[in-house]
Amino acid sequence: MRHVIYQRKSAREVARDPSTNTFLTVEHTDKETDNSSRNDERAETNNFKVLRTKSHGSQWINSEFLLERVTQRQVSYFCARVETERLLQEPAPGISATPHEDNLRYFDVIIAGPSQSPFEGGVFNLELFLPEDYPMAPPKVRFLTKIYHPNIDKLGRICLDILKDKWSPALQIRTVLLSIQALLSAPNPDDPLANDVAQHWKENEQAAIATARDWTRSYAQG
Amino acid sequence: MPNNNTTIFPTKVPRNFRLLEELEKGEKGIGDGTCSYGLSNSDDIYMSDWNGTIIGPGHTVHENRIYSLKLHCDENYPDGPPTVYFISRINLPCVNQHTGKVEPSKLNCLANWRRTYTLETVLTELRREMSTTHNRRLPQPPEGTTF
Amino acid sequence: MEDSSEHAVVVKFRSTGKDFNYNFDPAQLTVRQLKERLTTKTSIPADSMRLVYSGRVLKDEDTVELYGVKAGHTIYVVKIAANRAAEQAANASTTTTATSTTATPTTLPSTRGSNNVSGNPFGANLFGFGSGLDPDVMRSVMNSPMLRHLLSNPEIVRSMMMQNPTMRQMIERNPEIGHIINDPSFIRQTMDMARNPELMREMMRNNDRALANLETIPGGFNHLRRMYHTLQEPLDSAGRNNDQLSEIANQRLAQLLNVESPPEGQINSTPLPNPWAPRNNNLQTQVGNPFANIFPVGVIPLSNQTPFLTSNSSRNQSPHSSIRSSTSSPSTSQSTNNTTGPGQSSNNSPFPIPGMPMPADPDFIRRLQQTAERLFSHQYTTSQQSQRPNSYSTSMFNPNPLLMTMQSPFGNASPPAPQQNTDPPQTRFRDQLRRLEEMGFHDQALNIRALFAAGGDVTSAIDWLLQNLN
Repeated sequence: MRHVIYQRKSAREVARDPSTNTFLTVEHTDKETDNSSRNDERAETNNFKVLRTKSHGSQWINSEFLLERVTQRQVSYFCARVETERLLQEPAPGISATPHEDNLRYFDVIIAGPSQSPFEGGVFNLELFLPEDYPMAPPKVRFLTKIYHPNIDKLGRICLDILKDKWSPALQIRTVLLSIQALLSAPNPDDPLANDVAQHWKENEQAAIATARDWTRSYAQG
Repeated sequence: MPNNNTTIFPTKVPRNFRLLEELEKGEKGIGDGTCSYGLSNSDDIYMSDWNGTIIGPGHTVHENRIYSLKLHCDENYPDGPPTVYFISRINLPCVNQHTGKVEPSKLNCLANWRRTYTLETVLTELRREMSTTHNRRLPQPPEGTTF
Repeated sequence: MEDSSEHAVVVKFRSTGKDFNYNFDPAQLTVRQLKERLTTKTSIPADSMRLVYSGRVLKDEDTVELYGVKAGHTIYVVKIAANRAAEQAANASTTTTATSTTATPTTLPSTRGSNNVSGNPFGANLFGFGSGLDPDVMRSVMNSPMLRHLLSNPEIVRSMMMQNPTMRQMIERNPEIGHIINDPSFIRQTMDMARNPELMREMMRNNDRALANLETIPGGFNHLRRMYHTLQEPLDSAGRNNDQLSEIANQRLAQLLNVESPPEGQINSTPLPNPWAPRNNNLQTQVGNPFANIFPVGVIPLSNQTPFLTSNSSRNQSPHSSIRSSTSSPSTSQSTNNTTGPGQSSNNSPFPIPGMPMPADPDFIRRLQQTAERLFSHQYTTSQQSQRPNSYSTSMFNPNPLLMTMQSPFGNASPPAPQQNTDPPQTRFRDQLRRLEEMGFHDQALNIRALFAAGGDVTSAIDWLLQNLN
C-alpha cells in the first residue's frame, strides 16, 4: 500500500493514505541513497516511520509502523499542496500567496511594504515557484514590482541567503515570504545584488532611502 | 519493477522562471560561444525581447561573420515558440528576404516547437542551417548590411 | 595589467580553444581598451577581435559596464578576418564558379540570339520545361557578368520579355502575370535562382513543401489547380508553338491528377507562382475539385478573398459540416453545379480542358446528397467512421473515370476527421488508472470519474480525488 506525504514539519511529515482517508505523522527513518544520485528515481525513495494516525475529522492516535519507498517527487508534490492550503487558510499578515489554477507550484504573491521602512504603503507583487526538487531545493521567488533595494536587482531577483545556500527543507513558503518581508525592513548593502543601489545606500543612506520611497510611490501603489 | 512515477507529477516551470534560467545560462556562457543571447533591456521585467548572435560556421560562406538577431518571447513562451528576426542580412531559405524574419514553417524547431526547446535551441539550429550542404554556399549579401 | 580597483570583477573569457579569467572594472574600461588589453592574452589583434556577450557584439566606444557584464559572466572572444578580407573571400567564391565554367562573355550574344534563352527566359529557364539546355551551360550563362548585369536591370528583362509576341499576348490576357514581370524583386529572385543551383533546388523544395501543405487543407487542392490554371498554363504555353499547346495542357493535367505520386523531377522541378499575389476578380470565381462544385460557394468560403485566408478558414471546417450545409440547400448546389457545365470559358471552368466531362447530371447530385445524409447520421457511431468520406466518394465518382482519379488527391486533402474516442474509459485511461492505483487510489469507479473531470490528466485527477474523497 502506498501512502502519500501530506504535510511537512522539519523532519516529520504529515502523510495521508488516500485509500482509507487517514492522516499520518511520519518521520524519515532512512534514505536509501544520498543526494548525489538524486536524479535516479529509484534512489530517491525514502522510508518513513509513521508515528500517529488520524481519520478525517477525528483525533490523532499514536501508532507506529513503517512506510516504504515513498518517492521524493511525491513528497515534493504533497508538501506543495499542503503548504498552499495552509497559506490560504492562515494567511500571514501583509502577505498573500495564491496558486495558479493551472500550476499549483506557481504562486502570485503580494507583500505589503513593512511599516517603518521606505517601502511602507507599497504593495509589491512577486511570483514564486516550487521547483521539482522542492523541498530539497529552495523555492524560486522574484519581485514583479520595481523596487529600489540593494538586495533586489532590476529583474526582481532577490539576494537572500535562505533562498540559496542557507536553504533548509524545514523552511516553508510562509517562512520564505516572511523573510523577504523582513529583508524590506532591513536592507543589507554589504551583500548586494544591485551594485549601484548598494553603492548609493552605503554612500548616502538618507538619499537612497528617499529614492526608495519615491519608487514605492511610483511603482508599488497596487 | 518499472517505476512510472517520473511522469506522475510533471513540474511545469512557468514562463518567467524558465526565462530567468535561460538568461543566467546565457550570461554564464553556453557551449563554445558560437551562439549567444541575452536580454535587450536589462530591466525588462517580463523578459520579452532578446538579442542573439550566431558566429558563422567555418568552411561556409558564413565564416568570419557574426550575425545579430532579435528574438521575442510572448506570453505563450515556452509553450509556443519565440519569433525570430535576423538583424544582419543573410540569405537563407528560412529567412524572409524582406523582413529578416525566420519563417516558423521553414525551421524545424519552430514548426515543431516543444516546451523543452530554448532560445539556444533556435540559435543552434539556425547555425546548423547555415552549414547544410544546401546552404553553405548560398551567395550572401555584403557583410554588415542589415534588414 | 589587471585591475585591482574596488569595483573590479573577474570575468570569464572564452576564445577558440581556451578559457581564461580577467579581472577588470567594467565601469572604467571601454570595449576598445578591453580589447587592447586582451591582445596579449589571446594573440588576436584588437582590430580583428570581436567581443560577444549576451547576444550582442560589443561596440568599441561603449564602456563594458553598459552591457551589464557581472562577475562570473562569460564574454566570448571571436577572431574576425578584417572586413575587406571577408568580402574578398565572399566574392571569390562566386567568381570561381563563373570562371571555372567554359562560358565567357563573348559567347553571350550568340546565346542571346537563340530562341531558347533570350526569347523567353521564363519559359525555358525558370520553369525548366523542355529546355534542352545543359544545366551547367545554363548556369554559366546566367553567371556571366554581362548577363548578370543585364538581368539585374528589371527594365531590360521586362522589355526582353515583351519582345516575344506570345509572351506579350499572354501578359495582356493575364494582367497578374504582368504584375509579376513588373515586380523587380521577383525578377531578381528568379535570376538569382537560375544562377545558383543550390538556391534553385532549395526554393523548389520550399515550394513543394508549401504545395504539400496547401493540399492537405480542404479546398487547398482547389487553389493549387487555380494557380496552375491561371499562371502556369499561360506562362508555359507562351514558350511553345501553338500546335503543341493542347498536348502540353494534357501533360499538365496528367501531372495535376497524379499529385499523389508525381514522376520524379516533374512537379518537383516546377515552381509555382505566388498564390498570395493579388489576382483580379474574374479569376477568383470558383474552380474546383469535385466537392467544390457541389457545395454552394458560400459554404466553403472559397472566392473573393485571398486564397490563403480562404484555405485557412476552411481548415477547421469538417467535411461533414460542409456536406450538411450543401444538403440543406439543394437548390443552391444545383445552380452552382449548373454554372460549371461544359462550354464554359476555360477561365471559369473548374476543369481547364474544354470538353472534359462534367458532373452535371442531377443523378449525381442526388446521390451525393444521399451520401451526405448517410454520412451525417453515421458520424458518431465508430471511430472508423472517419474514414468513410473517402470510400463514399469513391462510389459516387465511379461513373466518371477522370473524377475517380481526382478524388485521390482530395482524399489527401481532407483533414483527419475529429476522432470520437469511444473506447471504454478503462481502456482509454489505462495508464492513468494504473498510476492512480499505484498511488493508493483503489476505487476504480471514482478514479475514472476523477480522470473524466480532469480530462485525463493524472495530477489534476489526484487533486479532484483529494477534494472529493472527504
